[in-house]
Amino acid sequence: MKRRPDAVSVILGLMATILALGGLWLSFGGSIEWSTLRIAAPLVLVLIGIIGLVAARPRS
Amino acid sequence: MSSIWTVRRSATDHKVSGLAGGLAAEWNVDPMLVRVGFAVLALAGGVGIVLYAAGWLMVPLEGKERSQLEEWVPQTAGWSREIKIGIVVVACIIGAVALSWLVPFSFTAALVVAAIWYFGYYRNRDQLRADRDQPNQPQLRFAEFPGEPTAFTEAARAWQQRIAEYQQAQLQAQQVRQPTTREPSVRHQPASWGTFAYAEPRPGAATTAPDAAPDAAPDRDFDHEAFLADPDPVGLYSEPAPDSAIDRLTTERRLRRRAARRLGLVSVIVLGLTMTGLGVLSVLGLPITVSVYLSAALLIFGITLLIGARIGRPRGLAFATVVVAVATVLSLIGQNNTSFAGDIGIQQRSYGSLAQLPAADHLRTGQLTVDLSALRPERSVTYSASVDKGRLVVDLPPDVTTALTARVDNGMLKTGNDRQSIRTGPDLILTEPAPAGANGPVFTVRLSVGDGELEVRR
Repeated sequence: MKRRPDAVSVILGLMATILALGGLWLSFGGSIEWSTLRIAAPLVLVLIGIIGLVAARPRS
Repeated sequence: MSSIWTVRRSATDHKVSGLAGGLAAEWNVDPMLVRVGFAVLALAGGVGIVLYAAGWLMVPLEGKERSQLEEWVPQTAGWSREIKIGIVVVACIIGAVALSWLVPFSFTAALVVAAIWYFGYYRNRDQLRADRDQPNQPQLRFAEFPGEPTAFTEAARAWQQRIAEYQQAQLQAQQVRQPTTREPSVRHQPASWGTFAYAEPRPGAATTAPDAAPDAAPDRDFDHEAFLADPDPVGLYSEPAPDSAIDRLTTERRLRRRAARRLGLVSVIVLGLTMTGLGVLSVLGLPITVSVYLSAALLIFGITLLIGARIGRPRGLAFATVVVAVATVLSLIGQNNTSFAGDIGIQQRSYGSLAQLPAADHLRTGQLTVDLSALRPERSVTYSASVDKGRLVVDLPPDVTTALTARVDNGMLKTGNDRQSIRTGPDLILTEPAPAGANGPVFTVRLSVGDGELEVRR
């Protein structure tokens, strides 16, 4: 039987990966525009939430 | 085994939520002591408030299986203990930061309460439990099923009643025998029923002695055989057939756990190699900051979690990820607070020529310092600087014909060091036109602050 992925791991893993990539970008001299971030961050959260819902959906 | 995870909030001994009553019953201490402990902890950085709220949310009420949090958000029922502990620790830190201005004590008070708990209860817990579970005062504590009665609950109730009757007979027999023997009757209880006599057998309680000789058997009204004469009073029990699905599930779970453990070990190795590599790069002279280390670790944890979503999450990884994520964010804020270009932070600008000078600088929140003292405009030019909330400091160039307009919506306007040069209040406006008849280029400077302070230095 194929197991469905663990939704908590998916959500936490995605958030951690995105945050880590952003942190490395900033640490190596990049900059993040606040105006971009305030649009992108909520959208990313919505996207991650949708992915989590899809991962956690019951399989018939 | 007694544990914080088996505590239940008291339904009878409660002032607010019954948490202190439940803890006192679990630890066998006076509930007032627990309440005083919470009060002292509340004054120690607000930790007590956070811990009490967490306990109220996460500890189920007596007789219930689900906590308040799990009732409100059923998805939290699957959270691991590490995640719950991590959330409480983070909440304590945030609460301590938020309430530090309000509460009078430092964390010393929390350490004192922890020391009292450790030396007063934890080191003596076996003795306290032994006092609570006196073998001569057996307490019948049966779990009550809160739902609708079923055939199974009726069977369980019938067993409970029989056990109660049997033990009552034992106590009566013991009272009759007491002048001749001091042996407590509980020690003679046969192993076959003794383990069922208490809803929660405790380590300190008198245990049954399977090999104990039932020397008082002739005195009893109910002997072992009579007690077990009809082991299934309702006629429910039959040997369940082996379930292959359960076996398959158990095997699958074991394999998954093993895979998760291997994944955890691999991630630890990768983490170690990455940290070593970053350390070598740092030694070679590359600017490897703390946030780089933390971000790299977080990246490894995140990828491991994504892999673990399919093959099994290593134990404790979620907690470690949350901790490293918080540390990464804090280090990034501390290190790169000027990286959120143009909006937030403490920023400093310095312009020495018109080629460098922008038409305007703007900061939404924070402090903006603009050094124009080295500027020598060869032509007339206009420069604007503004801060929505915060502080704006501008060093004007000397010996340059300057037309200045400064405006503060609400706050302070400072144009010199004497008292007359400092104005406070709403709608502060200063206009200094270029001197009439001045020759040469005019440097027009327009400064504005929404809420905050504007300082013009010459």
